Amino acid sequence: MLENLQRLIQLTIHLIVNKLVPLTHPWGWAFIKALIVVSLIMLAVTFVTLAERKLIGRMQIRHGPMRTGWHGILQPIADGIKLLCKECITPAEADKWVFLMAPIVSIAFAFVPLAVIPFAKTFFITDINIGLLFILAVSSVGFLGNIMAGWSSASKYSFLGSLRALALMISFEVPMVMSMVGVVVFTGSLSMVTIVESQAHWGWFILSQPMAFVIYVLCGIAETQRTPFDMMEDEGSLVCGFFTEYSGMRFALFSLAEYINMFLVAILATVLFLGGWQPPFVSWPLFGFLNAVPSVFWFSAKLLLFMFLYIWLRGTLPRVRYDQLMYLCWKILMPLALLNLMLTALFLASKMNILIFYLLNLLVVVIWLSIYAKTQAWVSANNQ
Amino acid sequence: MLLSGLSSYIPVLVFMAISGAIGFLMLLIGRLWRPSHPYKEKLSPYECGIEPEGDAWERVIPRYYVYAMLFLAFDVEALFLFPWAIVFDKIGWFAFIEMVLFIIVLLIGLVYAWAKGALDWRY
Amino acid sequence: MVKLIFIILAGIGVIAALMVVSLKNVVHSAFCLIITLFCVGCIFVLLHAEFLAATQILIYVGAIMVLVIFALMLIDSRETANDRRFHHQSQWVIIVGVILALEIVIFIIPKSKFIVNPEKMIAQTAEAGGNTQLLARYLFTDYLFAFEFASLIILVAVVAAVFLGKRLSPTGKRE
Repeated sequence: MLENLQRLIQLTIHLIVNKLVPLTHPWGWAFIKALIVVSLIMLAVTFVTLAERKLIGRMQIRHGPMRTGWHGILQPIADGIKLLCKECITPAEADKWVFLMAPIVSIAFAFVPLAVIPFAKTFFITDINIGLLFILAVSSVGFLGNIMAGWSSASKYSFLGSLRALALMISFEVPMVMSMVGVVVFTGSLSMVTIVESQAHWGWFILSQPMAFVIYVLCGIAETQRTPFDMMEDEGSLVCGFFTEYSGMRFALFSLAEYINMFLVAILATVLFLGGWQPPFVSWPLFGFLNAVPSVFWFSAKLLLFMFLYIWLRGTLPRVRYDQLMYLCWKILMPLALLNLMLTALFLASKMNILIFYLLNLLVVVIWLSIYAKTQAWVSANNQ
Repeated sequence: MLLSGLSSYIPVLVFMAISGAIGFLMLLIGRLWRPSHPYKEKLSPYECGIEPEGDAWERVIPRYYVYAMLFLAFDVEALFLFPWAIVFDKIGWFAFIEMVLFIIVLLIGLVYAWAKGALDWRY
Repeated sequence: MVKLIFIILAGIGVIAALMVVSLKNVVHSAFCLIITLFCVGCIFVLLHAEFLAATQILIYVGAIMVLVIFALMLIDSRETANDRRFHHQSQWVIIVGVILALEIVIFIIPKSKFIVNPEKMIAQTAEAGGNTQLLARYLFTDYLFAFEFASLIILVAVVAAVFLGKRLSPTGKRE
């Protein structure tokens, strides 16, 4: 009986791997790798939601979910089943087709950027010439899922939420892209694999691009609409933002897309600034043994560290106002990103000492913030 | 043969198909399981339990439009920076001067927008 | 294979473009326009113009369509939905359009030279390390003036945007 079962399983695997999806064919191999990545990311998302609830609970001196399984370990699965069984309401006045397509657009374009990410030394789905631009382009299409949802729901909260979210996302896109250019100046290539590999030569870019990293993190948090920058989910004024009218599985797709976008921002931070799959300290003496650890471990460790930063910020900081956020984007981050770019170019062209570069960076930030404070004081004095 | 340069894009295509299919599949599974008992109140737009007032598709303030225009201008600029970054180490100081000129012209634009108050978000 | 993908993409693009001009709801038209522009971006990939493809999607889909959607939110889509679908001059438009299309097919296409040797071009691109590298090299050496001039054009666009924003503001005061 058991032997038969074993043979059956072996036969099935053989059939799938060798006959249905021939591994030698590029399509088949890509298909399998894509399935692995997608399922791993979905698994990670389910457990990050649990980790978020537990950690936020601890930060607020409570337990978080405790009932389902040991210390609530089965909570995400229970949530999934619950959402699956919930009724999906389509508002009577809604634009049916756009309303239905919006979650699919969101989720599809949230996944696609993962296709060019090097998850480990040898594991990436594909390596294209314009990797970084590809990610930016595809994720900018994903924003349109929000406005589709917000517009088609025929609800004021959804509509206002989506407009606000979209205006915020596009605003923060600009300094984010500019901070990425700082990294590309070093690598001279847009391919994600090359970007990671060149960090063995230059050192992690968080060291040579500290200002760009800070700008990137702030923009990334705003892009994914997380507290303290979660303008679209401003419960006090917008109920739930653009997915107010969504329920059941459709709602689940939106929140899944949101978490995948968070992962994407964390992955990009890892790949661009934190050395991707490269182990830390390897260039130091006595630390060579770190190379023996599988590279995917380092990648996921950095990734999870960044996800923890997200949760930590959410548990610590209150939400800022919309106009303050727009100030931050256009009047602080934009000029700083441009200045950082010029400084980086100067640094590379003149081959100056990195310590002088740090000093210049610090000087620019201080001068800029003081100019900013002066002008704000002047503006508010003139208004009164 | 023409495909040779494009072979790295095949996995992207496959990935797009898979991620689109996941969205459809999840909605389909939900459709098989879930109940459906619609009635008039349930299908009305949510306005915190009060009767919905007026039309949702109202005209919005034009400030969003201004931000979108500014974004468009600076996004085009940011995109120009990528080719510059790629060839920077081949051209050196000359590239640096080119880009400083480019960025300064655009900083003038930013300063103008700032001075005219277009960057202030007023309620 | 490339031909098949091209035909599918071009088909979707053309159908979506037809829907842009024929749908009654302007917001639906905008969403169809997004599909068209996206398909054009994918066709650029088939032409080995990778940087152009990314630009197409990032600028047209990600920025210009956002602008268009915000502009559509300024008008009431319900009002336009009741308008007549086609203008009364439509039959003349069709006649002129057909004549122009025939002109392109009969006179222009036979005389124009398209890419003489695609293999050679692809090899050249690969040698330079990709389309983006080649484009960047030309942009910052041979076409430097055009590049610097582009910054001035963007500056003009910013000034115009700020000015228009002032005009558009409901109070008309400094905004």
